[in-house]
Amino acid sequence: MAVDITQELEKIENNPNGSVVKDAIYDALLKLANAEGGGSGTTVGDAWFVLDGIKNATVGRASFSEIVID
Amino acid sequence: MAITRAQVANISELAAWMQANAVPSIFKSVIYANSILTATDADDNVVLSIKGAQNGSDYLRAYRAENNYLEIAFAEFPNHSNTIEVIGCDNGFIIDCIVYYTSNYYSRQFCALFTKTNNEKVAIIFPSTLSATASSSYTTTLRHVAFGDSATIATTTTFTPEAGQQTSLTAWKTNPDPGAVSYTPKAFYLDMHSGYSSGIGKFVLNGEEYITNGYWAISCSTV
Repeated sequence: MAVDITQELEKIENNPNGSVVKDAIYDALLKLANAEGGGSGTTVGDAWFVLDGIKNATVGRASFSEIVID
Repeated sequence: MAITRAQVANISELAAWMQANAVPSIFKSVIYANSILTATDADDNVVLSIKGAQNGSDYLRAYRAENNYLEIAFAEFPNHSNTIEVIGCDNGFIIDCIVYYTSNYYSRQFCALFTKTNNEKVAIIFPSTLSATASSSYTTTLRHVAFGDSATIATTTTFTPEAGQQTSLTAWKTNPDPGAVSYTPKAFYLDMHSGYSSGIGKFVLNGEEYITNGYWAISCSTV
């Protein structure tokens, strides 16, 4: 399963109380993508984090406060 | 690009995985005989050897030239009761060893990256030691080899993040000498990694797909 987090967040960004809902969904989607993307044991999951524009994400063991590429 | 993940119990199984998944993308050949794994590059140079008989004198050697290699003993390399995981794609792979003391308490004993440089040399990068607290100092000492790179460079490189609290994807320089710089265009060191959880992750950044174990990120896009 592919999870495009940025796309999901855009859907609710301008709704009333959007920031609260956005944070909750954001966290849930990150956890989902992390679990399913990493797989377990000898498997590789299907889900991908889409990190463009996202801050404070954890992918596998990596904690990103912000992502830049040198 | 296919991503492959496995857990291996010994060097023989590691050799079998490398033969299936890292030849010819990283190595030209991987041979396991007499308890020794030997890998060669496209020019038939021996670039890696691992002796894994678990008899106390075992080693991993990463060659920068014939008879010139970096070595770690099995005091640092996993040899028993550990989880040894390999994961990678055609652009590189990671050997990751984690010792689980309990389900919630563990430390990483070993984490090595195998990839290619911009000059198509085999690059091998591994730590002198890594622990779950390695990230707290924001400085990590690693040893690295790319066969044919200058033998005069230090065997250790102390890496310090460049930009405050940001995690960056940093191409590793296997030879930083001006005019002869070689680096790892498809594999990146995560300078603000977290060492406190296990697992792997996959992420997309600017349209490119990466896998990460938290220390390394390898691009698995074909471009």
